[in-house]
Formats: sequence, structure tokens, C-alpha cells
Amino acid sequence: MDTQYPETDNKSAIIRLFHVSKRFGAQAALTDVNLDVENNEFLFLTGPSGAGKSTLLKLLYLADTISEGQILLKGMNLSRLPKKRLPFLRRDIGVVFQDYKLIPTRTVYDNIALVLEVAGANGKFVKRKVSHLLRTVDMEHKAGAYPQSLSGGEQQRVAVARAICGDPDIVLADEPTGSLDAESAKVIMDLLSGIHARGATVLVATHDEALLKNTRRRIVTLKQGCIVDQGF
Amino acid sequence: MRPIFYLRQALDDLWDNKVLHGLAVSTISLIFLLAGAFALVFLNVSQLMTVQQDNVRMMVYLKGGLTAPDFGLIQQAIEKTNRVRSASFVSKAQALERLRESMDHQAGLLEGLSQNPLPDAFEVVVSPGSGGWEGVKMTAAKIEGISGVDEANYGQAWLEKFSMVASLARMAAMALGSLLLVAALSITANTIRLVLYNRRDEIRIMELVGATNGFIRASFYIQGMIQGFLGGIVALAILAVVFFILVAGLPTQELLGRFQFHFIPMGYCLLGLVLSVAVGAAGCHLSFAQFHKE
Repeated sequence: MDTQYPETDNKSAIIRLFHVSKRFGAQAALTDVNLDVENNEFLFLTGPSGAGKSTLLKLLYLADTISEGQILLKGMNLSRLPKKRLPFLRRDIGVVFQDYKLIPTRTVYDNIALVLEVAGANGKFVKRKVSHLLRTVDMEHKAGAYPQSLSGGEQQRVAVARAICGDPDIVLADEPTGSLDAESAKVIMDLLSGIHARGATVLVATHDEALLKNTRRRIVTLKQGCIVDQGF
Repeated sequence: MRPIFYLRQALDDLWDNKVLHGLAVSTISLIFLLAGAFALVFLNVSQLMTVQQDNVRMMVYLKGGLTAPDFGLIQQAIEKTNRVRSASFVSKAQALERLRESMDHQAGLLEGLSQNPLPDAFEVVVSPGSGGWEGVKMTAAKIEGISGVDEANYGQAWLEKFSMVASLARMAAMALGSLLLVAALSITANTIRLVLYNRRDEIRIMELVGATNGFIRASFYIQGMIQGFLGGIVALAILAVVFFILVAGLPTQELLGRFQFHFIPMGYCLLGLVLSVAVGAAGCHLSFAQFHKE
């Protein structure tokens, strides 16, 4: 068991968690979690179902608030972040959701373009960027298709394209290969490695043993809301 | 701000929820149609009153036993009275003659009279100007104070009742207008709220990818305003068509003399449209407030 406390003056960490706890009523989802994630690190969060992986990611992409402790994201204390700043910080975080969260009434193209549209990018740039991403995830031929007509692997590729569309500093992926076959899972992991290679910090929550078996990345293991192990 | 982008979004959403928005536009137009019809009636009644006031004819009856020089003095006194435009003498003989003419076939009834029961009188035209009916009332009181004058009659009882009914109608129209406005506001708010609930997952996703409140709300506000505008314009169009068809078929000349019906002035029409757009925006604002509360 190796639950290290983060160093208080670690300037290279892009994500810092100090004694973070999250409770849902009487139920503790995370308990006293301390963690530093270095800039441009590729980190796996693992643990059994209900260990608190998704909860931790939710706290990081500001879909939920902590019960105790502090989270620093790019040096900003999330508990003190003014509400108005929230959308702008979220633009620096690309998220691949476990259930994809693609908008069913928008086409594949529009789902990816949304990230750039909300940031106020101009039409020509959006077109160029989205077309490039569609080629990258090999979904160019399905640009006009709606999410419900896609397979799980295809939806996940669109979700990854959307997550990396705004060139975020941080990419969070919640079980990105959870329901995919080995081939589709490899495509997704290659895409995440690609964005990592371009300088992003990537956090992947997974319980997929195959992904973790031969990796040289840091693996943080959670169990019942606590970090029980971490290492390479 | 990217108005064309937001407008496109709003139009796409309106199209995607066309049945819901169509129903809302129909209801809003019905409300504005009712409000417009009231405004139309109210404006025309007010105008009718103004036309009447412009040219009030008053009969000033004289006491008996007066002589020709008295008539001259009384006429001078009447003509000097404030707001009096003209005064012409109608002798009791002329009055009887007029009565006989007006009675047409029943004129024989007057044959048996041993003496003329009608008094000498002056037919006075009063221009009350901005004084309105109060001005006419004051003029009549002054004329009644002239020596030799018995009574000044201009149909006060009828006109006072008419004025009272008009004032009541004005207050009722205002109260009803306010109620209708609240109803239009509530309909727009509920329609947008339904769309919001229908799209709450989408809105949540938009928030998670960094959309600001302004980005999310803009297209909804435009939808609300388009909805309000369409409701207003449809109401105005229906009102205009019905009004001109009715007026063309009414024998106005016979019923109301030189009075002509008028449609709601252009300025008020534009004001109505601005109001309908504002109702759309306010409805949207209310639904967002409710949506965020829940």
C-alpha cells in the first residue's frame, strides 16, 4: 500500500488533489484522496466497480463538487473557482464519457464541432479542424450520420474526437474501452496516446486488465474510495 | 456574439419541435387577436366620442313672454359664451314646422292643437375642444344662467351614460389586456420549458464541453422571440382581414353619419409586435429561471 501525500510545492503537477473526500448522503464515494498528476503524464486509474474512479473524474471535469479537501487544476482551486470561469476551464479538459454522451439530434460532424462552436471558433476553422479529426478517427464517411446509427466502437471514436477537438491540456477518459472489442479498444487507446504525444495530460479510468498488463504508465488503484496502490 | 449562428440554431430547433411551437404560436396569436379586437373596439369608440364632441348641437329653450329685442340680447350673450361656435334662432313656429316635417305621416296629430306648445329656442353649436364633455357641461350651465333662458339640452343623460360605459370599457380592456399578456407569457414560458426538458441531456452535455450560459440561452431566447413575433403578426393579419371585410359590409354612413371606422394605427401595430416579441423573450427568461431552480 503506497498512498503518498502530494508535495505542496510541486509546480510540475497539472492536477493536484489534497485530502479529497466525496460523499453521497451517508455513502462515502471517495475518502481522503491525495494525488498529483504531472503535466503531460499518462495515468491509469483502476479498481473494481464502485471504487470511485468515475466519481474522481467527475470531480475533475467539474460535474460534481467535493465534500472535503481541495483540488487544484492548472493551479486553480476548484472550490474557489467563480461560476463564470467554469465553462472556460472546462474547455481545457476533454472528456470521453463512459456512455459517450453524444447528442442524438446532432450528426457526428455537429457533435464534434460543438466543442469549437461553444468556444466561438469561426466556421472555416471548425470545418477544417472537424474534417481533420474525422479522418484521424476514421469516421469521415459517417460525418452526416446520427449517433444511434453507429456501433459502440464508432460512437467511442466520435467521443474521443470530440474530447480532443479543442486541443485540451487535460483529457479524462472514463472506461473508454469498456464495451469495445480488442481491435476497437486498440484504436481508442492509440488515439489517446496520440493526444498525449502532442502534450496533453491523459487520465484513463479503467478496469480493463488487458490495457494495464503491459503498460509502462503510472497506475493508481482505488478501492472503496481510497487510493490503495500506485506505481509503474 | 454570432447572431447568424444562434439564429440558425434557433430555426433548427423551431423546425425540430414544429408541432409544439406551432401550437404555442396559435395560442399566442389567439390571445393577441383578442387583445387586438378589444383595442380596435376601444379606439373606434373613443374616436366616435371625439367626433361627437367636435360638433355638439345644443338646443337652448327660452322662457315664454319674450320679445324680439330680448331674443337679440340673448343671442349676443350666447355667442359670447366660451366654446360657442354659432347660435341661430328657431322660433316656436319654425320648431312646430320642423316637428310636423319630422312626424311625416303622423303630422295630422298636430292639427288639433289650439296653440303652439313649443318654446322659442336657439340652436347652438358648441366646440368643446380639449375641454371634452366637461366643457360642454360648463357651457350649458353658463347659457342656462342667461336671463330668459329656460333650459340648455344636449342629450346629457345619454351622453353621460355613454361616457361612463366608455370609461368602464377602457378599464375592462386594460384589465383584460394585462390578463391576456400574462397568459401569453405563461404559454411561451411553458413551451420553452417543455423544449428545455426535452433537451436537458443535450444542455448538460453542452455545459460539460464548456458552453457558457449565454451560448446555451441565446438560441432559446431567439426561439421565444420568433414565437412571440409570429403570434403577433398572425393575430394582426387576421384582425386586419376580418376588420376590413366587416367594415366593407357595414352601412356606416346610415348608422353613424360622417364617422368612419379606423384600423389600429401603424404605431400601435408596431408597438403590439414589439410587445409580442418582448413576451416571447420574457417567457423564455422565466422558463430558464424555473429550469435552473429544478
